[in-house]
Amino acid sequence: MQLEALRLVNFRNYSEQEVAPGSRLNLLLGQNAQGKSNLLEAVYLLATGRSYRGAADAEMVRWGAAGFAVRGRVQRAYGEVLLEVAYQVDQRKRVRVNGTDVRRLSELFGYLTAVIFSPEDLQLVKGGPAHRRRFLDLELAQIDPAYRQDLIDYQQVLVQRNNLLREGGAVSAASASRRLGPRLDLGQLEVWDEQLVTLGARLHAKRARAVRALSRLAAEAHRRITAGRETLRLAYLAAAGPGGRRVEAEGEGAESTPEAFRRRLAEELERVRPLEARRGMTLLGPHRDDLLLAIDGAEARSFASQGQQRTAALALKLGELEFMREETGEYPLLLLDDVMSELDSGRRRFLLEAAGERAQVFVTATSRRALPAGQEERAQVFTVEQGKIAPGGEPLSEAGTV
Amino acid sequence: MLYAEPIARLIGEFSRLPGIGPKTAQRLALHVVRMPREQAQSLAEALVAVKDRIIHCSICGNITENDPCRICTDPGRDPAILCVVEEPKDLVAMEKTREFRGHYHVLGGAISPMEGIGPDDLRLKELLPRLASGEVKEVVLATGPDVEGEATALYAARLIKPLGIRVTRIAHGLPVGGDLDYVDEVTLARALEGRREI
Repeated sequence: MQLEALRLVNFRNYSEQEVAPGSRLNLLLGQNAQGKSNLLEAVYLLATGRSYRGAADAEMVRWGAAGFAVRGRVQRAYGEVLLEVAYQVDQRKRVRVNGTDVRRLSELFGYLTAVIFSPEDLQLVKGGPAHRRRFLDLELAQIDPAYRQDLIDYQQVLVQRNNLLREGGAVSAASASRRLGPRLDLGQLEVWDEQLVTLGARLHAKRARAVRALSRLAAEAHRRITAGRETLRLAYLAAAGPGGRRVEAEGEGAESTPEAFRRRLAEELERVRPLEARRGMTLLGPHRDDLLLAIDGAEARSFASQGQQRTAALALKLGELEFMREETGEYPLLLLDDVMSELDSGRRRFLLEAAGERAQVFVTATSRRALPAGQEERAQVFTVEQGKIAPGGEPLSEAGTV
Repeated sequence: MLYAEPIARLIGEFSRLPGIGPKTAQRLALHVVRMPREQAQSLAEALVAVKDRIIHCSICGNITENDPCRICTDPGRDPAILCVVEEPKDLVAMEKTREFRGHYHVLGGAISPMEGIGPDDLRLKELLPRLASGEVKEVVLATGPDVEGEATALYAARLIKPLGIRVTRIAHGLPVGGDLDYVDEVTLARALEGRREI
């Protein structure tokens, strides 16, 4: 797929800007704080309706303006799609697909898909489980709207259930005889348990399946980056063991069907109940799962060097790119925010050769030298300066080879 | 104060209504200022009449002027089937279908621990005595499709099932008359999940 035209109005530091990106490699050149990342943020907004930097809608409005609008024209194998995300201060965000308002944000998903890679993605390897869950959730939500709705429902069930565990629930005449400890009303807890395990099993099945594919694809990318010297393995760890302990979703003793997993979750949930009642929180389920990354059998989070962790993060992102291609039939956009400076020339070359041949890529950099030799002739270059984007590169004196 | 006290007070009252912000409240209040006195009088009387004359039906919990309400006393309705809804507006929605000819039970909300609403804050305890006579053969749970509505339906089902009464849940469905490719994926996925044999 390809983003053919992009228009920003009062978005971040852009007042009004149109861009016509090239079909493959696009290099956004500029000093810091000129608006390079803002442009990637706008592209990602069209894909997911949200900022990849976690910014609130109001934060993306240009200073002094009353709202923003981002519009894009996307070329897909099946035809052209017009997307628009607009926001007015104090109003709901408006999303349009082909000129028609959509009721739910999830209806925007799938027209434009994007993979973002920024320096913070090192946290996927180094950071806590929440980073990896978010990574899986964003990837799946883009290609599977039903997943996104299940996730929203699951989170709501979790809030309600945790409230009940903390507060115990008002004494219910109908189930007063079935109480756990002095406070907790079991009759009420069970109706939340039922939804927790049903939605939880659905999320689990989709995440575990995605990790299976991702493991294969990321391992392949990793093998090529390290020239076969190291082996990356991914495994999905489900918080469904005794007491909420994480267990590998694959391999021995793992459930083969969602229904079997649902039963297991329900059984463990019943067992962990006294502990949950004491702690006042839900200890089992996908909100506590993790994704294991192991290099040559050792957990990358604890045992890998900084360089190995960078390579693992890169392999994971390239795996995501290929996974989304397998699922949707077309390559998503690859947005590379300021990662060129973090990678050595060999990894830079690999990244741009692996992705740049097939996907539309947007790269931000402060210098054209960020691109490996041989790549810059292929790149469509844009200069970003104080909220203005102009086609063409930096002055000849600095560009040298052009 | 920019407005005279009676106007400021009216703006304050309007802005306490759901969905009314300060701007709209101001517009409504200034509109009332321009109204003929009779119209303002009529509005005020309508407001008070709702409070004076509208009560909850002692059988089904719907809002009504007469107790029991029109539906509960209608001899043309099927007493064997009872539809459980969250709010009076849901009852009205069901009535508009003109498909359902049984009786209703209005709960007055849904279970929501985060808002401190438990089963005993709903009209669930009034539901069981209505089922005791054995006249009701089926209870249709038509609470909302969100997780709170689902929890309420599950809770009610657990109370009713031991009585040997058939309990059903309304389906997540597709809009009628449209093409499948216009339906959003979430609705379609849920409809697939709730598929039935034909």
